[in-house]
Amino acid sequence: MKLPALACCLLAAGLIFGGCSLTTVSGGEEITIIAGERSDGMFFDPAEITVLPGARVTFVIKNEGSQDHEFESNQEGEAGIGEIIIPPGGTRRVNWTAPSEAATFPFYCDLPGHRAAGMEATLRVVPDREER
Amino acid sequence: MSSSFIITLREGLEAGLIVAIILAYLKASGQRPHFRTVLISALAAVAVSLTVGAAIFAVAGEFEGRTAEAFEGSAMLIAVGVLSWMVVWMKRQSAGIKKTLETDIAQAIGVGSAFALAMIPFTAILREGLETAVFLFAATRTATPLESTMGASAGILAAVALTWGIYTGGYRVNLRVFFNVTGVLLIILAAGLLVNGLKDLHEAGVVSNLGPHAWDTYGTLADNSQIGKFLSTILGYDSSPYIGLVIAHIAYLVLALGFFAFGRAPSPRPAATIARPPVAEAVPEPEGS
Repeated sequence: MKLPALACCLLAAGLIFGGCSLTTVSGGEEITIIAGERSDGMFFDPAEITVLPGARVTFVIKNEGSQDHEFESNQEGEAGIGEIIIPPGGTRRVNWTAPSEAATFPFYCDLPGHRAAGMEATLRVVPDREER
Repeated sequence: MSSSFIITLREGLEAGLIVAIILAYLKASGQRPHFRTVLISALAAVAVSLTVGAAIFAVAGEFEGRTAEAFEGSAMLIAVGVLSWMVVWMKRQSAGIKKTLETDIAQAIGVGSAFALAMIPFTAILREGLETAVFLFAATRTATPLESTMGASAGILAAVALTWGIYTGGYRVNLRVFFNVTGVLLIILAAGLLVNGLKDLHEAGVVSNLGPHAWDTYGTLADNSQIGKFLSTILGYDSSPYIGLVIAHIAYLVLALGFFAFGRAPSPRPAATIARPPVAEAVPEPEGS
C-alpha cells in the first residue's frame, strides 16, 4: 500500500472512530426555563418540570439575569445532562430523552454559590400524563 | 478526527521507533539474543503506563461537582505543559537520540548488564506512555468514553502497523514531515485543552475572573450541536468565550507554533526516511520526543 493511501485509511479511521458517536441535536417537545436573579436569591422557573417516560424534549433555557448561569444534571444518578453556560440575555437549547421508567432528578446551576442561592429545580419523569 | 487518535498515533509511533532503533542496532551488531530483554522491558513500560493511566482515571472518578472540575481543569493544564514540552523543547533534544540509544546499548552490552540494557527501552517508552496517559486523560474530559476509547485504539493500532511496516521495510516514511504535521496538530489540540482547562477552573471557582464574554455565536454554531461538540473537543470552541480565554488561546498558539517553527532544527539531515533494516543506519531517530 502506498503511503498516501495508507494516510487516507488512517484519516478515515480517525474520522469514523472519532466522529461516529457524536449525538445529533434534533428537536423534541420544547420546555422553556427561565434563569435569573431576584431580591431573595437566584432561580429557575418553573421549579418543577414533569415529562413522560421516554419523551424526547428540548429544554430552552433563557437567562434573563445579569450574570452567567449554568444548566446541568450530570452527577452520578442524575439525568445525564452535561453543563452548559448561558450568558446574560442568552438562550441555550439542550436535548434530552427521559428514561423509560419513573424517576426524579435535580437540575441546577453549579457555578459557585448559585445552587445555594436557589438555582436548583426538579425534573420528574411520571408514567401518566394526568399526574403532570 | 478525535484528539485521542492523534495522541496515540503520535506517541505510539515514537515508542515504536525507539524499539525499532534498538532492535535494528542489536540485529546489525549480532546481538539478537537480547531481543527478548528489549521486548519484555518495552511491554513492562507499557504495563506501568497503563497502570498509571488507570490510577489517574480512578482518582478522578472519586471527585464530583466543582472538585471534579478543579481536578480535571488542573489535569488539562498539566497536559498542556507536558505536551508543549514534548513537542517544542524535545524537538531540540531529539537530534542525537539514535546515537544516544546506540551508545547506551553498546555500553550495557559491554559490561554484560541485562538490567542496564532493559532499562534503556523501559525508560524511553515509559516516558512516552506517561505522556500519553496524562494527555489522554485530559482529552477524554471533553469527549464521550466511546469516542475516546475508539479513537485511542485506532491510533494505537495505526502506530503498531506503521512501526511494523517501517521496521520490516514495507513503508518508506518521511519522519520529518510526519512529526512536523502531528506536532502542529498536537499544539492546536493543546490550545483547545488550555481553553477547556481554564474554563473548568473558572467554573470551579479556582480562576475567579476571565472577563466578559467576547461574543455570542450560539445562534450560528451552538456548542452542543454536532459540529459544535466536535470543534469544542478538538479546538476548544466556545460560542460565547470569555475574553480571557480568547487571549490565552491566541497567545498560546502564537508562542507554541513560533517556538515549534523557529526553534533549532532537530537534525542537519534534510529528510529522514527509513530504508530496509536491519542495518542500524536504516532507522533514523524520531524527531519528536
